[in-house]
Amino acid sequence: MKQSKKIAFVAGVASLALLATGCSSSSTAATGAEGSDATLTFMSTEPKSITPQKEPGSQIGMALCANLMEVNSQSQKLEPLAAKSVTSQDAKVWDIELQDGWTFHDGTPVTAYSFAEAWNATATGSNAWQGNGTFVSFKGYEELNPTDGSKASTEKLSGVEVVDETHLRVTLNAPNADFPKLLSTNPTCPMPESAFEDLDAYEQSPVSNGPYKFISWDHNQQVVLEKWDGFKGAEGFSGGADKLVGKIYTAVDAAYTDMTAGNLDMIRNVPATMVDKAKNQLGEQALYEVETASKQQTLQIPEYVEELKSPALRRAISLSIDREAIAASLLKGHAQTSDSLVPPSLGSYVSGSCADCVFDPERAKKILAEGGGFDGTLIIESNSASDQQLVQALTKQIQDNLGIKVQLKPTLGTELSERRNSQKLDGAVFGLWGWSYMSPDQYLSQYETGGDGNAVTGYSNDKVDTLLRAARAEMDEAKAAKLYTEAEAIIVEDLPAIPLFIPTDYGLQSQCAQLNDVQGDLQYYRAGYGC
Amino acid sequence: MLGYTVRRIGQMIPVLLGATFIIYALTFLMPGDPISALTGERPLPEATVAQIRQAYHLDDPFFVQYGNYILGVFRGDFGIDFFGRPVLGLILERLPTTLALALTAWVLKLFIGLLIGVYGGLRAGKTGDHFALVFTVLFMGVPGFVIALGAQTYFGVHLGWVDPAGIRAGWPMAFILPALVMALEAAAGLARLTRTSLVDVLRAEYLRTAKAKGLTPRRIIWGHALRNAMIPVVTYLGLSLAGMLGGAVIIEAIFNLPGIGGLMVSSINNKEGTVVVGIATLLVLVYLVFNLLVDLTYGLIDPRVRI
Repeated sequence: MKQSKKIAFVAGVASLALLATGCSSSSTAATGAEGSDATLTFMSTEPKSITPQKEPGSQIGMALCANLMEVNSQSQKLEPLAAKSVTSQDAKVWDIELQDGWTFHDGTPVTAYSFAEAWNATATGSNAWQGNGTFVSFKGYEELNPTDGSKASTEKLSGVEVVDETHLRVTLNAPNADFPKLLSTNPTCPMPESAFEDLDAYEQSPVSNGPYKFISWDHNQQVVLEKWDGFKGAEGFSGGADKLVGKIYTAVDAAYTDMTAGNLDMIRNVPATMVDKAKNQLGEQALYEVETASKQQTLQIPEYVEELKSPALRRAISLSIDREAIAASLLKGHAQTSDSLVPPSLGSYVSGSCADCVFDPERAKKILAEGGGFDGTLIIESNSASDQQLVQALTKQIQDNLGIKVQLKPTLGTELSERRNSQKLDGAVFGLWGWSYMSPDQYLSQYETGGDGNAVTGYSNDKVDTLLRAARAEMDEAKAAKLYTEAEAIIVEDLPAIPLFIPTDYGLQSQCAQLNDVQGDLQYYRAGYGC
Repeated sequence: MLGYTVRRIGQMIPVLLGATFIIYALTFLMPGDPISALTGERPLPEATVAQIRQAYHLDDPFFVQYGNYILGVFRGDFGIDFFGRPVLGLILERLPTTLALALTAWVLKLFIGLLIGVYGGLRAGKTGDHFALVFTVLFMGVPGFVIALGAQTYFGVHLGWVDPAGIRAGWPMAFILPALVMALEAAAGLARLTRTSLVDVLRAEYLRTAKAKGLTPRRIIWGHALRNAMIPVVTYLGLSLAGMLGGAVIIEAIFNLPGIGGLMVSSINNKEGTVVVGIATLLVLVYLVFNLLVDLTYGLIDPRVRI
């Protein structure tokens, strides 16, 4: 009798185990359809959202949506896609004409309203969509985003006017010749009318107008997209795979292991530590190097930190860093040294515009001594979760070559962001910057009073502000580049940020995948299929 | 028995309230601003930040925030994360994976640990016992992630028997290897405990009495020795299952099993307070329930503590 109770207990536990596991295996049974025809798998993390307006960096969002303007991967130039033309006389008022007869994946037409309504919703602050910041330059943004926390008085951007079904007119707060580039980013994607009837349902099963359409999203497992035969854009805006499967991983290491086992085709943003390992294990052809460098690492120096105000000190710090040595040894050649406030891929770049971005410890000491020396402690803040070895190497070089005290201050990402944005940093801060689209403005607006990213350094210079405004208003790209170069020459005198490295971006590809980047942005859906 | 169970369940409520309060306070005190960090290095415009903070009541005083949260919980609403996804949904999505992993590992551990422990205990001091000792010391000594990475590379990549990172393969293929790794590590402790307990019991006087009464050796071992030796083991087993549910973070990450552990870690990093409190509350609840189950199980094994 007692014996049987015990057995019942064990059996109970076992059936509990079967129950729990059984229920999870049934939810995964839907896989196995892979490998039908030209299928490519890519690494993804569980998306917070696949609606492009909510998650501006979403690779899935990019595949689903055809923007008004996009970079053609064959020409590597920005061209109209869902738009027939985007034009302006003064860079402030923009006329957009849509392509005729384009539809969403469900067959409903893409009209001027599809864009205007999506933009209004995204620009409404109380919706808390992350693409919101994209619309900051649109007229009427302030009314939709009151800073005092009060309710917005309107639901529409006053700067967006629907002229007719296929014409939009956008008015900006200030002239910006980069506006067509802005129209190539995720937050400016259109949304069909049906989306607004039930946004939660749309979130789980988005309908858009791009080269790939949404099939399914098994949370924490995979997202499946299929090539849409109704896509009317040129080949350079699409990819080679008939089916794209975003396999969801919790860590890039697990994805890498899966790739070595032959279960995964593409990984982007490969960590530098993984590059050499991959070259050995997977072979040279598995490594895809992004030619157009879009990122830069700098040591930013906030203007509000009094003891770091001296230009002599900033120049001396810059001169005491042996960038070549760090790039060659610690970074194993997977980075270039940086000698300008913008990456070399930009039109406004002038080689060596930062004259003090070379290694010269003697001159560094001399400049510092002439400038009155430094007997305080240089604090370098950084995100404790990334690039710690690099920051330590920098610290050691400045300490050894300049003979000043340097202290590291690594903090959690959430804490560092807050200190950076609310101007509470205690010293210099190590940071990485990248562009949303290819333009010098994306780098230099950090040094414009109140510009994008300006909060970190708080740098402010009237001459720079004037030049940047003029550059933005200039429709001729070459002339604009000249103005940006002029502005940079003034900023670099004050060194609000010390240029350090241009990290090389890598992707990993299987034999079937042929990765492709568009102006430095590696997008999974653009990959060719080679099997 | 029924009254006792009801009373114990009643006691869980203040414990749960206290636990959520402490965890909520700790997340509140954590440095950093979740909204500033939402988009990484590129900051959101000030107006957007203000709007989002308002939407999530982040500027309210602590007690108001906690009060809102608890009132929501009583209505079955565990709140939303900063992307507007319901926390309960996030947890339920990942719970099956964690349950499958923990229960598979626990069952494997039960078999391996008891087998080795009982074998070692019955043959205490003999060669077999020494082998069992070496085995347990080996798996207790080598860090779990080393075994995990080794097993993943060998069985997953070289031999290709299982997907090395394959939640998509479902149960059992995706879970068998990580569960085995967890089981081996935990079985070592169980085996040692079982062995010691059994050796102790075998020396007890009532066993000599049993032998003197002329009972068969099988009856002595199964009916008397093992039954008494199992009392401390059951406590350990019950609580270790609760521990396995929350403590598989590293194994989950290595084998790409999207469970509760990984969600907890990423939520702490992003300061997603509602998610952290939700998971922690769930784990506290699991612990309490298992504690109760363990206490009730005592009664089945040991009539002396029956209430």
